[in-house]
Amino acid sequence: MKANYYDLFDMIAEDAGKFLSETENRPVSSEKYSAEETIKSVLERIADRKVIPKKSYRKRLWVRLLIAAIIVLSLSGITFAAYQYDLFQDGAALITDENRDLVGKEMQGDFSEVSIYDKYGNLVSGPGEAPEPTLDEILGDSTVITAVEDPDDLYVYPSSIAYFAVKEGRSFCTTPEVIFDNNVMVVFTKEDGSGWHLTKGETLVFKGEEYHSEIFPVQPDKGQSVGFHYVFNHTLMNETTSSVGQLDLKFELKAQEDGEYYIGIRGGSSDPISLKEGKIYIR
Amino acid sequence: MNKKEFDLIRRLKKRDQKALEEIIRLFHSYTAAIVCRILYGQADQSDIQSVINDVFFRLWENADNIEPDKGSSLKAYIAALARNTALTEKKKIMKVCPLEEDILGEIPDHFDQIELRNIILSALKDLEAGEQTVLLKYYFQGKTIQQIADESQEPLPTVKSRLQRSRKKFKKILEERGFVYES
Repeated sequence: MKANYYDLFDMIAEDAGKFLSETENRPVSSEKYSAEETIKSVLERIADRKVIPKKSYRKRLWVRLLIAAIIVLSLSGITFAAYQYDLFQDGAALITDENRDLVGKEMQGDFSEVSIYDKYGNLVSGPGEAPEPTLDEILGDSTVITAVEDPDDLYVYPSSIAYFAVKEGRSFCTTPEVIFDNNVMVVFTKEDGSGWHLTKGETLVFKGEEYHSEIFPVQPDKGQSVGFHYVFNHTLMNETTSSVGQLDLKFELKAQEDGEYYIGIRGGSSDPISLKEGKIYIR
Repeated sequence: MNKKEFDLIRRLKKRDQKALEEIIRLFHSYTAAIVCRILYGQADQSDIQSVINDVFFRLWENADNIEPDKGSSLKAYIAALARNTALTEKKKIMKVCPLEEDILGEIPDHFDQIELRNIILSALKDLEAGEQTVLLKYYFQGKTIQQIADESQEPLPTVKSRLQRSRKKFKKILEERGFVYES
């Protein structure tokens, strides 16, 4: 870890403030901040959160896949275990013993809610295409991402965002095993929800590996496509890079400015992508 | 983690706002003290209140990520949250860009954080008051040499040379205390 004097004094931030206040003979007065005032403000902020309509994720996902074709109702797909509800509700989940059977699998679905369109594109039967989520719905009440760099650039928007905390270690952080679907973005945070503070010129590095998917049965080294994004000071930035066809993933983000950064990985495959534990560190 | 904290977290995860209120009342003074010290001399009362609010709002938002069986206390978790939130705010206020003379070098990854903090703190205590002040105002508060000179009502060259001397002395003490880095 590269260190400068600013970093050193940040490491002893509370003592530094105390030192200065004693030197200047101006005691730190925290008594003027009242708990009741804080309670009032925090509860108001919680109440101000927009209600996000419940997404019928499964419906949206399958309508998207079948929209270009007319499908005949027939089969029942594979039913998913109870835990798979999280993947289908939110588009992403931690990989645990309860859903490990989904890792690397090609998704099969329930065709009972398929939509059928006539040759003019009119809905004949079924629920129809679910409306695309708005930016506010995608961002929700997250404090990690509160804005996007260019609200008009629709390509940047994932369909939903899921946040997963890393395990912090001395020299690197370990990202958890996760499974996530097409166009869902997984964002890694520190245990308290904060990001990585970089000074200009430092590089944030993510290294990971995909589980091999059965959608490439004869190509054992082929991986599914993902997009790498980053968040700078709580804004989802437009700049993005991709990894296509690789199992090994690596993303390096060089800080152009001092600030708080997060790395996001977006699913770019028609089927869920599963990641093994990875690493995030500052170089 | 004690039984009471365990129960508060359990209720927090179930989105019990009363649990959040209890947590705020229990840890508010502690949190406010941390935030006030870190933002000393850099933020006004309303900004500091805003940061304190942020800490507890983030606690609410990230309740699902708290793992009570991991052993550390809720107090320690909130302290870390307060610290990071205040430091983020401080970085937004400061916006400094380290120059070459501000860089120490590469700290080996195996260096224990607690040991490092103890070394830095003890080195700082070994400086004279004027040397501590100039380093803290410049590096911790991000003030310019001109601002420090105006506050102390001293000539600019005096403050500049004190900063250079203090930095050199501080670095020497750090090395004597076992602060290892690769330049």
